[in-house]
Amino acid sequence: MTEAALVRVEGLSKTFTNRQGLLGYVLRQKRRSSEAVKNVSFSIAKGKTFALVGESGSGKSTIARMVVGLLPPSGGNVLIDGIAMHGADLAHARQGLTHRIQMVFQDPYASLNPRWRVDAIVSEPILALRRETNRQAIAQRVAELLTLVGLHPADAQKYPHEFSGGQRQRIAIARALASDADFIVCDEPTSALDVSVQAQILNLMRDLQDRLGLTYLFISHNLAVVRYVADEIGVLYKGELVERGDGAAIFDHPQHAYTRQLIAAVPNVDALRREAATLADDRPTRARAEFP
Amino acid sequence: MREPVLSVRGLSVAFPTRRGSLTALNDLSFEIGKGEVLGIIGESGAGKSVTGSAVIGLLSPGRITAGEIRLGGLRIDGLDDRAMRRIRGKRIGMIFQDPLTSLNPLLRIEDQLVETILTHLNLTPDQARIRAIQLLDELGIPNPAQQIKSYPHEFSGGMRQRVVIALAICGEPDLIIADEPTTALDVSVQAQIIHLIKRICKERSTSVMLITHDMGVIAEVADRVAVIYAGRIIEQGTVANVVARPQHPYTQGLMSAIPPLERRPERLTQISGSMPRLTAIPPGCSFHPRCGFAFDRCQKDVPRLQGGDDRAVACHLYDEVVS
Repeated sequence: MTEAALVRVEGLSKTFTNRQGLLGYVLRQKRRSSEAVKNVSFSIAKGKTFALVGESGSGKSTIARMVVGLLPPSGGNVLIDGIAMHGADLAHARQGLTHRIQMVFQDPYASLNPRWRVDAIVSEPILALRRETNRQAIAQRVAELLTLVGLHPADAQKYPHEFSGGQRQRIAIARALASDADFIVCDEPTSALDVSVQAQILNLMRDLQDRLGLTYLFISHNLAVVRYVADEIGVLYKGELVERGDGAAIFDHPQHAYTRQLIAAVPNVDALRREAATLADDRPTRARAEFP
Repeated sequence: MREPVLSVRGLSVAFPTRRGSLTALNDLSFEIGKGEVLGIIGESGAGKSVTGSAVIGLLSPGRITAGEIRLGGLRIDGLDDRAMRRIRGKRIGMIFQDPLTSLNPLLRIEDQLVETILTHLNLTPDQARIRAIQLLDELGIPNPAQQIKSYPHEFSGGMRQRVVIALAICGEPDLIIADEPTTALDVSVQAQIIHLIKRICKERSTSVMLITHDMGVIAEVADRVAVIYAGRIIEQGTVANVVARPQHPYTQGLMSAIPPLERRPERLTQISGSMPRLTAIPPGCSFHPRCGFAFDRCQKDVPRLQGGDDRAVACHLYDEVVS
């Protein structure tokens, strides 16, 4: 698996230190620091999904930000296609990488500029990264992208407020794909959405992965969502990766006490569903005839 | 059946806008019995929170256009502010989603609890203080005599929500309205709070109206559930019936859209489209444009909720077939 790894996270750590005020300096107080991420390592094979699951404050988003290069780590490194994201030759090395890594954020109401039209939003990465300069070609590409995520090419002329939450998240995904990214970091992409819409977005992300061979780092606090999307799962607890494995291993045979506790805590409809499956169909005639 | 604690009949609510009035709730009827937990489930914009606000009379600028709300036989819709204030907190307790915004950050926990207890119960300040400490203890706050001196920011989210629950139950209400009480919390804390609410209600036989978007929470806590879609109840019944064997195509879609924890399906069943906005609710059954089973009648007639206490569904598929 490691030989085909697109993303390798090696011993990643992050310590946040409080800023020292003047008073603290004068009194020679020690700065307070907190270890947000401790020695986390994992790799993601090309075309696969790795999910990080954990509760608030476990360090999921901090890892995501270090992986995309928005935050320098205190230790360790992130290698994408063998190129280090952090380190001495930073600017040079990253040049070939920036367009390949994109992010989809949690809240599609906050991540899209309300004063920009959809075509401006989606084409921004194309322009910023100079992927294409011909205006007609860009418009063509935007139309393609919108179709790809299940929107209409004419939607390019609209503003974000004209769309529902799920449609906005589709726009955010189109933007992430605009620069021909093959590695997408999704930070809680469906937690602001309703369940029925969440299913649409999760299915879309899976379809896009199949069609374009995308690699995902998926961050979530929702275990059921993680089970659905991930090929491999890492459980984070207080900045440490306490368990790692495929869905079946994590959910059916959790090793770490925290993982077990987390799974047990999820309010669950599965038990009721199982019970229902054993019951006979007592629905009225018409419904029985028309439902599969 | 004995007198229900809360009885809502034909409730409709409208909000005035510049372009005329918008109907947020349409002909809602439900009852909550003593010690019963009724779950109100729906997606954003369905009208579940408005239902809660209508019951506690905090609807402004919206108003009730039809129907009646009875609390233990007493009609409480249309009561004036003063009368309603005596009911709120005393007979109906409230728990909101975000425990940080429902507590006053400038007051110690003690002051907030004692004030509320004094308002609703005939106690001396000293007795109220003792009562407050007892409540915190009962809700699992360690070392309550000391902790009661803290400010809300010194507590974690789960601890704060316990304080909010203490505030909700300190007037010994008959009914608690809990609007997304665990949505802002982490899973493990959520589980604690869910079980706490369940335990408290059982011990005190308090009724609960649990408003949530999370079927899992409903499955764990509620006795009965009402599914709201675009301002109407489209399915109602016992949790075992509605959650495990849903009949309305919307409820069925909602249930199968929830990713299971126990296995990894090839694909999630999805409902296409999204809930209509209040300005554009389709005629007939408001779900018909998204429904895979819609036929001509669904576009014309609004289906009525038919069935009994254990199970009722508003869908033309379940109309008696007239031959």
